[in-house]
Amino acid sequence: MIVEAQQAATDAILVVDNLNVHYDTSSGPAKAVSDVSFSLKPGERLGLIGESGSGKTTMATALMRLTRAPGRIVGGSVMLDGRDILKMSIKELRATRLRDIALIPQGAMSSLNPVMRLEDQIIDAIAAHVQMSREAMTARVAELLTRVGLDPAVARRYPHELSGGMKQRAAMAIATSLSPKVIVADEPTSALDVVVQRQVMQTLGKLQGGLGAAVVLIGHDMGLIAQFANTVGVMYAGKIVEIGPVKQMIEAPRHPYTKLLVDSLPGIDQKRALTGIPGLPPRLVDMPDGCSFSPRCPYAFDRCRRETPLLQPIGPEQRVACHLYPDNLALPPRPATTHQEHAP
Amino acid sequence: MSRELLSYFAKRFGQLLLIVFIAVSVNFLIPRLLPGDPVQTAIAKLQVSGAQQSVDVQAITNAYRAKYGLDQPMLAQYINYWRDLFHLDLGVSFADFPETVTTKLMNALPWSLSLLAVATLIAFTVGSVLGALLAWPGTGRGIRALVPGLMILTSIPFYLLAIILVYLFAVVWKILPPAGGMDTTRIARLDAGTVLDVLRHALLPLLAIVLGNVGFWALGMRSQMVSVLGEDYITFAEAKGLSAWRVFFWYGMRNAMLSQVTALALAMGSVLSGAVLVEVIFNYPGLGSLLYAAIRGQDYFVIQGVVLMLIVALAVLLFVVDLIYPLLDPRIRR
Amino acid sequence: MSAFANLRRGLAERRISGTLILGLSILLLIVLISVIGPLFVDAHNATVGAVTPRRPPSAQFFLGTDSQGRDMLTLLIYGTPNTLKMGLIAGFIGVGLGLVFGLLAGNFGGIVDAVIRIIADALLTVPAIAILVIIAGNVDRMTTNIMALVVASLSWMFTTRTIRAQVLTIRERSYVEVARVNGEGALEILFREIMPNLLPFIVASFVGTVGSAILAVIGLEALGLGAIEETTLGNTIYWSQQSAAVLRGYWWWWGPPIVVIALIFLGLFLTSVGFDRFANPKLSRRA
Repeated sequence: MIVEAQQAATDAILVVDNLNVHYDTSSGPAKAVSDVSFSLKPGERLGLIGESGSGKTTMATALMRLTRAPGRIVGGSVMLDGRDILKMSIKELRATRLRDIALIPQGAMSSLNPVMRLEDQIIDAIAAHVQMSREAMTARVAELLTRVGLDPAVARRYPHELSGGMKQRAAMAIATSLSPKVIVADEPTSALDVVVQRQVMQTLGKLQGGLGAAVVLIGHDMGLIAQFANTVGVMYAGKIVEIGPVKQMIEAPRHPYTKLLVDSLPGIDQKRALTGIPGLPPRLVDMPDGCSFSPRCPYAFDRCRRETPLLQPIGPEQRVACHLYPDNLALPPRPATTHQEHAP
Repeated sequence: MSRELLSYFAKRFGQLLLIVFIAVSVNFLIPRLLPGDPVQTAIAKLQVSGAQQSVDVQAITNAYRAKYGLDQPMLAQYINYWRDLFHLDLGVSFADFPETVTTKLMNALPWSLSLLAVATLIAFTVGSVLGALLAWPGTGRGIRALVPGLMILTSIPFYLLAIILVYLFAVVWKILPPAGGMDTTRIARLDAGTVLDVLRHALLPLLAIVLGNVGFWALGMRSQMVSVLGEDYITFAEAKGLSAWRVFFWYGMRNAMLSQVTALALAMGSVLSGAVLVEVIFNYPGLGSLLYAAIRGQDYFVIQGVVLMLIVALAVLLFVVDLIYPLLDPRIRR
Repeated sequence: MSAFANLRRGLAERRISGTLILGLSILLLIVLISVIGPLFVDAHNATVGAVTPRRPPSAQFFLGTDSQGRDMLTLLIYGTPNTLKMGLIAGFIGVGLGLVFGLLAGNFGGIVDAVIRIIADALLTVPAIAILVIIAGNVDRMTTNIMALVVASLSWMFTTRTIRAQVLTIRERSYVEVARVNGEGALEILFREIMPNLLPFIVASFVGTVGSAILAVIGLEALGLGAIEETTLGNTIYWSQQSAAVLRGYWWWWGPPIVVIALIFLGLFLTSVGFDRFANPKLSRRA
């Protein structure tokens, strides 16, 4: 299997193999994450992009087995340094969380306990894993806050007394407090304005570099992610449709969806019309046969509607799930608009 | 204490005074709005019921005529009323003349206060913990099986529950006394025997109030807890690798308690009302029984006095809850 | 969408829960007893001295008789509708008043709002039993209708609070803005945009108000302040207390009324919980 080969060859720190997460709805299970596989080397920065409903947040929580009803992890494995997170005992799981793999949540605005002081929330996280004297704890808290660019005095405050950017950085301080090997950042800058976004991303970069941790950065902003990541993966309808080094993904995207995403980035140098991607993502319940992107794909042909494409390697370090390959070497020019523009 | 906190307290205290003022005025107004002379009606009822023969009705009538007599304009009566209140003169009991209403109230108050305080504390704490556990996914089936039972318990007004309890414990099983606060043949002394006796008598009323209320608190807490558990900070807490207990208590319950305390404040009125009725069933010597006896004996001023006391007690209780709230929710401290 | 289609969708999405159905069924049962019951018993048996007193339940007297020679079954069948009636009257008036006050306070704001709010809050903090006792104690001849009115006078506050809060929220919503911009008058907005969205809250308040009204009524009757001449569930319990029925072991005197009362409250409670889930689909999901 591809994954085992990868593991053996590259000493990956995180190997996700065939992860499947379903949501139980009244109309049947919605396949939020379908057969997702990827691996991460120590220190590598992986960016995962997708629209709303692509399953990216579901995947983020699943990586740490934080999935909550009505979501269910139905299959696959998440190997962290050789141990499967999905099969661990609860005790081991709790020890692994934060210490080996940490989460930077999407809405730090609401991820901090409103009735506890910041320092207490940092201390209880550390105390759950290591024994430390009270003084040592306080010193550590000050150190962590300074590292993310916050004034240590902030520790005595309550979350509602902090701004959005400050809360996000506090969450980052907590997440990196035990120097984890993997950091999962779930849209850490979504609710922030651009200036603060940049500061937060810079802090994240600095932290990650200092720790040598691998990062899975999840989001919907192609521009932001491309600036940060080494490797970029594109998710659509719960599957990874293309994954590869960032330069190649931006300059020569293979999957039609990736191309459309890249094209939709506004350019400062040349003025041109803003393009989007027509149509809507599919419902994850009762998905039709064939490629899930085919209804919106300008390149779609017969096979696309019948057969689901599998993720296959197309070059060193690059994989794509599309019927155009491996027959083509690169993305052909866009055909004339004879296709459906709207989702069925 | 910060300036904002002080002004918050001052505002609440002002509200307390306002409410007491309105309530007392209502207490004053209502009997006087109804047709007839209140004092005269009371005395006339007494005479008709033939309840009190040993009392010199004429003496009382004259005394009160002078004070509250309807020959005086309403405003003067109102002022007299307030003046008497400040002197803690709430009138005289017709039934036990010349015992004052104030004395009777002071005798009954400790019984009611202790019963209600202990009962509410137990019901609220047990109920809240139970409710929180019911909302927690990791709780065992045994506890979950309590839910239908709790729903049924909530459905019985607790003074009716009291009747069932008296029947079971005092009549059928005969292990607890059916009525009273204390053995009437006993001389009250501060010794172990008296204390034990008091506790024995207090047990059934306590049980009635606790059982009647615990369901309400539990079910309320459960729904609060369910919504708290859906919050992002719970997910993040688990992502930190905290133990289940820590997440449950410090992140879950601690936040759900906020609305519970508010609910406590709003429910105080009905808890008080129910407790009063429980006392009646048990003939427990608190404000409830005092009220009941006064109603039966047409003891007009005692009725007014007890009602006044209840209003003030509730207002003070609510004020205390208002004081506690900022301690629990740092967002209010601004 | 037609009501029937709505119903089917509600059942499919599991919004109409078993709880709601159970609650409504219990209430329906009680109403049925009240309506059909009288056809099976002779009203005369509920008067003092009509039958042999102090008989435990038997084939002849299904629920026994009390110490004054009244048949318990008859008492129950005639008492239940009276109690329900008081609850319903108080419920309608209480919710009606609450709705009016809430709309006024929420819609017009300013001094109207301040006045209504202060009065409602003050009355809420007064133990209802206190005021009711005073009023009831001063009424010469109490009837069930007067009781209902007395209780109704203190039943509107919760509804007012709820409706007021909802009106304030709804007013900020975009469709109201749109209506305003389109030139709809204040009253039109009230009736066309705001009221329909208040419906679930009105129903929920109604169930709650009826419950607390019945509670208050029974409380007053237990103290002997009820309409003594009429047959109600609370009065029956009162009379049983007066005759020390508990100590004398006449459980059939106070037992059945308590069971019926418990059923009424259980029905109301389940209905309100179930209705909550119906009106607020987000709650349908199990946590």
